[in-house]
Amino acid sequence: MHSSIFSSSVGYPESHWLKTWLLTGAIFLVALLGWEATLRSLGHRPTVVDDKALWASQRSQVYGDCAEGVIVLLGDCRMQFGMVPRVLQEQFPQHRIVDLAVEGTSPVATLRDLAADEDFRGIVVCGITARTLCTDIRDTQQPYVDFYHGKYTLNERLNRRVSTAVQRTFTVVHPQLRLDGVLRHVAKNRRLPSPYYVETHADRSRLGDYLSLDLEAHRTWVLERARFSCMKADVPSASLWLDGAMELESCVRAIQARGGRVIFLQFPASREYLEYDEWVFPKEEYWDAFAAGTSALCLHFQDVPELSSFDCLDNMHLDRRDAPRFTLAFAKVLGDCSVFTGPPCLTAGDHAVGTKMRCCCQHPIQRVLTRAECACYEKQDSSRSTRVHGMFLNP
Amino acid sequence: MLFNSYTFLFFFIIVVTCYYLVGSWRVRKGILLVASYVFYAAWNPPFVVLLWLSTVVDWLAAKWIYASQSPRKRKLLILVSLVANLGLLGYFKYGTFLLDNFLVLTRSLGLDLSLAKPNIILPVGISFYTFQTLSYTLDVYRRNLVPPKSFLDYALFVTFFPQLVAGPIIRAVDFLPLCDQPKRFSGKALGWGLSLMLLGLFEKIAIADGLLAPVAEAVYDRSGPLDFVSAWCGTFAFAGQIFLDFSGYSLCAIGAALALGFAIQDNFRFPYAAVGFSDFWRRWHMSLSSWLRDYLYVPLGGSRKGPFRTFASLTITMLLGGLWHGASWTFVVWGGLHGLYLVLERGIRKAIPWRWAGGSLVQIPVALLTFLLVCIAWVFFHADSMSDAFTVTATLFGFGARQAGHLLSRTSVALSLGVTTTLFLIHWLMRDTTITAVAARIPWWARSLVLAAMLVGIVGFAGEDRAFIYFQF
Repeated sequence: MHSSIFSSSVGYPESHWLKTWLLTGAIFLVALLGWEATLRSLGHRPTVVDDKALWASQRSQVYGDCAEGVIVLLGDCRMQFGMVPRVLQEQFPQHRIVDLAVEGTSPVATLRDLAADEDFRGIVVCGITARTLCTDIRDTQQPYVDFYHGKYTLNERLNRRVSTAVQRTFTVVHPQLRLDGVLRHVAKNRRLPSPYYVETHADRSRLGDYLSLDLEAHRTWVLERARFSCMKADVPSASLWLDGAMELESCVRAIQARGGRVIFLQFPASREYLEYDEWVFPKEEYWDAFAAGTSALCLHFQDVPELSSFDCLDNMHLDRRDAPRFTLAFAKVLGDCSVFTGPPCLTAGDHAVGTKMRCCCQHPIQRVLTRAECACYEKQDSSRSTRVHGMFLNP
Repeated sequence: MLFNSYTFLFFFIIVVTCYYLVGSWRVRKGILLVASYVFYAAWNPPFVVLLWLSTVVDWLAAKWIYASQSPRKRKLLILVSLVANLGLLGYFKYGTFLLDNFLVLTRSLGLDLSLAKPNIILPVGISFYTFQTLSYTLDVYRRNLVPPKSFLDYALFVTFFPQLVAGPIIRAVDFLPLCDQPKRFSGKALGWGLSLMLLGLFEKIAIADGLLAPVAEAVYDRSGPLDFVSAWCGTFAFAGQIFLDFSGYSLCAIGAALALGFAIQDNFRFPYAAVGFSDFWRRWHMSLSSWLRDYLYVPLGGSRKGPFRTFASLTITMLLGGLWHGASWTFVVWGGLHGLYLVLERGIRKAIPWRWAGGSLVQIPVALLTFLLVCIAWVFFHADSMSDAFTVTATLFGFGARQAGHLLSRTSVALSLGVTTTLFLIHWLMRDTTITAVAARIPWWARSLVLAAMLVGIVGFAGEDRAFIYFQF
């Protein structure tokens, strides 16, 4: 009994298939290369599509002996735009740099995942803000973690590799240059779109060309988005927030107990955005309290002279011209801190949490001391440890 | 492995090349079998064992059923096959669903049981290959099929990679004869097969994912209130998306099979031009609807035992057909709605003479009404929960929350209406013909232009990779 809809004699158009496909290939190639040339002549450049598979391809590279060194970058878009893995790699050639930051998310889920991974012994540079430690957005990177553990198969790996190779070669597959978007842009503006201000690389880092934007409009948008995503009235009290934030301490301890290190970093911000952030999450009540409680090294850009002089053109992210300089400055701070060579970090119990100890120059030690300040502090009390909040100061 | 992935492109080139380079037909079938296992293992290697289990159990059961003359023994063996296949399907697909509902039931009875939730991964394509192997043993049991002598042929029938994970569901009676004849290389079959694959990918990548999915997602993944216009446009967009996604997959499968010399059945025949629901189910997912008809509806009594039995058979078939799609009450309601539509249509057909219903003046409005009712049922197919489905349905009928603006932008509304109207017109114009017939009528250079335009569309709309919707079933 044959099923009534089966047709084993499905026919096909009879003629000229070789000619058909040769002409198809020729038309396609001409169209593709012509469109590619047009886009490049307008200044467009290839970019890599940042998706879960690309994240997973980086996540799979976090293993390795700490002596060789793996530096894992966690965070949100500020990390992706502000830290340039290539530059960091040049500064620490013996280390492998892995970028696991994800735009618009909190790094907590990934930090938790690395802490639970017994094979991970690397250094974590975790870009945070008080907002990204709020409980309502903490699991926003969990889908990436789940994808890596559940769906990142050999097939996904191979497919992602080929995708990356294609995307970094051809501008025509740029997601911002999809045909529907281009047609809409042309219909509205009577010209082809200008180059997109963001460039994503295969290592997941991003460079943002903010000078190509209408800066005032973009700053307004950034501020509006910040206000929309976090209103003052919805912000948890500092004590409630700190209780939640300090849950990360178990992750920090787990990583550091295996010989790894954790560094929390708050990236620069500027003008209205910085003012809004400070109004919603006063540094003294939120960041400083967290820094005092955790055994991880905490670097707030306002506390570290080398990191404090950067201006974010859109008030929130570092521009492509500033990101390499910021990365160099950060690398210098890390080097000065002997993060890679020092003995195991302090735990929170090794010093009085939240104590406002001051050196002779009256610098509060809940922040990173400069080399000069450190010497000054050592003179003041040479019997005390030179370790300050998990940071090992060079002699 | 997805058809819309680079790995499949390389995989397919390698398989086709090796397949046609080898002389021995038996070795070539072996190559296809190994390739099919690699194709399936690319998703999750350990689950290939399930495929083997299903293959071996039904091979042995069918062999013994055929050899046995004892009705009792034959019944016992078919029962073993049913329990093994439906047991696998039940555990992997409905285990968590059944447990959840059991807990809800016990809670409603005042018992507070706390059971550990099993973390069950749904093996891709299990619903498809389970139905395929079941049809094999049932056909042997009914003496409609003589089991093949070659285990290789049978294993290839179960695992043939072009249609393994999302259909079309093929029957052994149709497929096994194809394994008898060595397939010679045919430029025409390869050329047309590749053209069908390209058309399928164009439907999937450019139209379903590129244009319609963002509109449908904006409505069905929304966090705020919904308005009348957006609810309809989002639902139209999903109707277009699911058709183009699934028919795109089917075209890729049929094209890939044809490129290898195997002609397998169509799965869609311009369903949005259906005039009534019995017509719709003769055009939509035809391999499933014919399976349900032959192995469920007819054994339940079909239309031979009076109107009440007919309505009951129809309803049960459609409810189970809905549940086949997914372990959720929303799918059951979707199937139930289609069952209700079919029952009402039968009632109306009996009450009203249809002699005058052959003209376009009647057929077009009926087709439009059919399409609208199909769209309302799609709400339950797409919604994450019953409450969301009821919210969208209420909004479709004008009972949604009142609000000033629209959730969808003007562009999205225009896009949804434009694509839906075009799709409906294409289906209407082509309802009595086939893609093959249309392609045969156009000159070769025009075919080249269309194919090149589709290739440009595929590259031009490349973006976020989305799996085929029917993979989850």
